[in-house]
Amino acid sequence: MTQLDIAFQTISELAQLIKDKKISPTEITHATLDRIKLLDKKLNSYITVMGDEAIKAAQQAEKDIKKGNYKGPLHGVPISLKDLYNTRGIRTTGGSKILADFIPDEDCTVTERLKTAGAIIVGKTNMHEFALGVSNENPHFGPCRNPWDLERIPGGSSGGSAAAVAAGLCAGSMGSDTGGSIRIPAALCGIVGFKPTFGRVSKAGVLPLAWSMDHAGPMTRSVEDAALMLQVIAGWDPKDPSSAKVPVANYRRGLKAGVKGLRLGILKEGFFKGPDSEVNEAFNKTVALLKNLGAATSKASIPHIEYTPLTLRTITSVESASVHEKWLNTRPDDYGADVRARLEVSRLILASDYLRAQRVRSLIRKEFLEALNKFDALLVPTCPMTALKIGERSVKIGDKVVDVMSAIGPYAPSFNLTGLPALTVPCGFSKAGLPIGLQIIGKPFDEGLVLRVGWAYEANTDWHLRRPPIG
Amino acid sequence: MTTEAELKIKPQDIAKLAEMAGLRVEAARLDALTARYSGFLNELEKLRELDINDQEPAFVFRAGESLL
Repeated sequence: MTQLDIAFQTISELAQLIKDKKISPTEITHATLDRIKLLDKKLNSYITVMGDEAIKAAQQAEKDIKKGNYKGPLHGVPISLKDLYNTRGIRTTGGSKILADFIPDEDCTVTERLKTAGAIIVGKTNMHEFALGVSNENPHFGPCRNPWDLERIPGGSSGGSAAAVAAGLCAGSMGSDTGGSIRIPAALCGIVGFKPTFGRVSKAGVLPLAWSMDHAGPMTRSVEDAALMLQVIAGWDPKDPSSAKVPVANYRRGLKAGVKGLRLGILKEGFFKGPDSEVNEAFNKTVALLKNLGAATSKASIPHIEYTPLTLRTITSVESASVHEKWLNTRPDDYGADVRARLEVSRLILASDYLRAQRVRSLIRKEFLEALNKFDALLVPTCPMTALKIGERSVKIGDKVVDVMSAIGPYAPSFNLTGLPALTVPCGFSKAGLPIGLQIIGKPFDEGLVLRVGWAYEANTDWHLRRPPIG
Repeated sequence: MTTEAELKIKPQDIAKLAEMAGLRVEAARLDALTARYSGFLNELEKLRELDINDQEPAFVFRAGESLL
């Protein structure tokens, strides 16, 4: 197999090859590290490459497998982590100058679970500073670029993870999502991103942005791979107070059951009128295909949905200002200009406005749960547009000029506010060759059904098989 | 009768308020920040106009199973 062949194998394909001893974890790891060396000068998707550690872990995996101690589908597979997952002995910067030299004493729960499953951690990926932004134009480690067009942003804040997965610089990655930070970059880079239910995956040892909104989840090149990674990382963790004691299903079982008979609600009201025509067309074709596959589709109503971006921004601003209070007081000059300004202005929000936003959040959550009594899942585009150019600061939508975050991110925050599981899968490309994403939302802890809808769509399309022109 | 101009917060008052709130941001910078983010700060008014008297705040710091 050539380096390129290895680079674009999915996790499930690599797992089969490893299990059948047709390729070794060491070969895969060397191929991945060579590809990072070859391409990451252009992409800048990694902050830290863990070459020596990865080769050592791969050699150990190879020995274990030879001895008959095969641990499962992640054994020997190269995985990266957004640089806010603590890794023992390896710096974890949060994409910041402030933590540039922080070396954790222990792995976070997700890192630990991935390692126990035999995954080979190949590096820590680039991100928007402290996960507070969607462009991934990092002032300390440089901007990460979109592999489909190097002049464009990959989205963020998990932009490095999305770019690395899309360009074949790892088989899967862990991102985090506070207002769309897994789903937005996944959609803009043409890969799968899954934000599970709040509490499903432990955040212990993951640098927080906003406690009540943060989620951890996988980013992969197929829906089945997202299921495989989730299987390993999901489950209660006593170290995380927001972790849920809800049994973890077998996500592979039922994955291929199809959508026949499922009721799918289409979110189209209020501010959802905004997608550009190419996104709208791709979304409508997607809905038509799912209907052809046997799903019943009709419009879903969330009366207060237009309040979700503002509500999320209010809550996230206040919580992030609290997270950053100490550093903001003692090291303000070490922040990048955009993040510092956002954090400082967050301190002007009244406590009563924060609680008001939490009350609006209750209202929105009730409306979504009511809608999900009528539907098995909901559908909406992941982003209303394709990737913007690096350096773009505002976008004109209709007669309004809005900032990049508001422009790219209006469809994602509802599911951080509600905690509902939300998956993005590639659902088309613009004429300029830029990816478009479909978002599938399910009931609390019903990740299996969300993955099932995503798999059915993916199995009947080939968007996920397209490769970026980067090489 | 108090005029509108008299009711307006003066720059020296902003500095005092910022100090009281523990903001540790210079008055000039605070001015610039509030100007830059005035859209967002003014938009908060939309939330204040909503009738949410029957809503409890979300129990967001509890374990995830509270979503069930």
